[in-house]
Amino acid sequence: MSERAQLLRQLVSDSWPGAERFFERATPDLSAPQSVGFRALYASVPRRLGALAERSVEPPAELAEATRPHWNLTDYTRAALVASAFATQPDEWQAAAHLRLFEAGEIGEQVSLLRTLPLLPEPARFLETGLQACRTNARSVFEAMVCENPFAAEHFPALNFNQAVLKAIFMEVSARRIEGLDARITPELQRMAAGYKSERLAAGRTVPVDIDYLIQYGA
Amino acid sequence: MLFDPHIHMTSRTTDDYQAMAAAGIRAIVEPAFWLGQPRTHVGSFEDYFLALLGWERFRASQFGIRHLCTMGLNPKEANNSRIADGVMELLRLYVEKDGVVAVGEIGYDDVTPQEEKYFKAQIELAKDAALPILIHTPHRDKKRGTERTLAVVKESGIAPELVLIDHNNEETLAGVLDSGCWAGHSIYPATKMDEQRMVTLVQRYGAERMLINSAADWGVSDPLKVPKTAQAMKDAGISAEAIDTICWKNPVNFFAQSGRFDAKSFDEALAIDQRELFEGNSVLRGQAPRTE
Repeated sequence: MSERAQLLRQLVSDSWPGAERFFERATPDLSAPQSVGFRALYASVPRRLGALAERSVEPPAELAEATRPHWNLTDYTRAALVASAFATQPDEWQAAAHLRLFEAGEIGEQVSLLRTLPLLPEPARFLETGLQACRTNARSVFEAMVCENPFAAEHFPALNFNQAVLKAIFMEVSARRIEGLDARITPELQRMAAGYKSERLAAGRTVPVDIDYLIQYGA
Repeated sequence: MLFDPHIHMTSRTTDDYQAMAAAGIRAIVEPAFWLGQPRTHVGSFEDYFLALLGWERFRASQFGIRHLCTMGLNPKEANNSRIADGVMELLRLYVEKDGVVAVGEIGYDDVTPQEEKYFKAQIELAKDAALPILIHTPHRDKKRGTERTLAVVKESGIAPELVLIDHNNEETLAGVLDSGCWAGHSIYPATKMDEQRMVTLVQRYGAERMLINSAADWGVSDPLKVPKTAQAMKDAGISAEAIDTICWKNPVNFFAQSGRFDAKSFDEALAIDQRELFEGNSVLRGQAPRTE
């Protein structure tokens, strides 16, 4: 098991008395993460946690940089499952398996998977999951991908990053919640923002404050 | 008589069909699109296409509404390369089905290279099948996306009169009309276009090659936006002839270019017989069947 998987399991065990038994029973499924068994286990996490599902968790110093305060025990438990299972599998298999887990997930599963994406080794490998996530209509899924999450700014190509920023504004999610936004404001993104401002004004509508933030940035 | 040339009835109820019929809607086009979330198998597309051609057409007919559809791989799902080629293969078959009057909705969403590849491939598919195309224009970076759409259309060599470019606004309409394509407008409760803005556009640009639709789907939308906008145009003093052109003649004439129906036959009302069944299923749940 990887060091990170061990840290995550320990963290979950510190908050949940049933953790040891849960991971013990999960052992056969962890070696076959494409199986229905693993996917069912992943889906069932909040139900097994019961009243603890939404509980916030204080990560150890080793994980402080890679984690975010809004993650809950469900997110950490699922991250522990993914880290444990993926560590047993060949690298070339992981991106497709991650995407499959995302596509077949309901909203809560997708949220956990996206929030904790930066915890996986070499997260750039999971870009396709990130890009597909931005096509969602579900606000919580979109927020999990772009808000308080460094992944988009660190790994999205410019085209997809710019679209994600505009989509945030369309979904009335503050673009300033996109971690690393400022460093990726480019003349092209500013042109797109200005285009949207012009379109809103031509329609007799108000202009979202984020649009002016983008246009005026660096001016 | 009114025509809603872009409405996703699989997401709507029989209450909607009743209200639409009562408001004068006699024909609709249901473009193939996405379901609010991406499909994960090619087979889901096939069952969706079959539902458009089968049960949905039957449901509409039970309320005296003619149901036509367009077939296509929508731009959002064109980004999923694991399914896109399989859907393209299906489309070669489904564009030949009775009741299919265009390839659509196709075009750009995020304006990615993948979207462009399947957009162009579907224009070629339409050319081979001698069908018109219905093009969705993107919501983000709309003006640039629409300009690029027009460039792709021009480069493809498809005749502009076979092209309907949808979801126009104040900033895209002039360019679309100048290109010789037809211009659709989706009248929405809060986004896209509203009734009063549409009235202003008609006053400025006239009725030629202009269409309006509700684009009603599974989101906040209103399947009565065509009748409501027709009323707003009437209230603003726009002529009955212009309203009839926009809300009936233009969509009939545009989609009749498919050669898949006779425009003249649309002048007669569709007979309603609610005693009919589709694969043993009725739209009725204990009510007395209506026949006209």
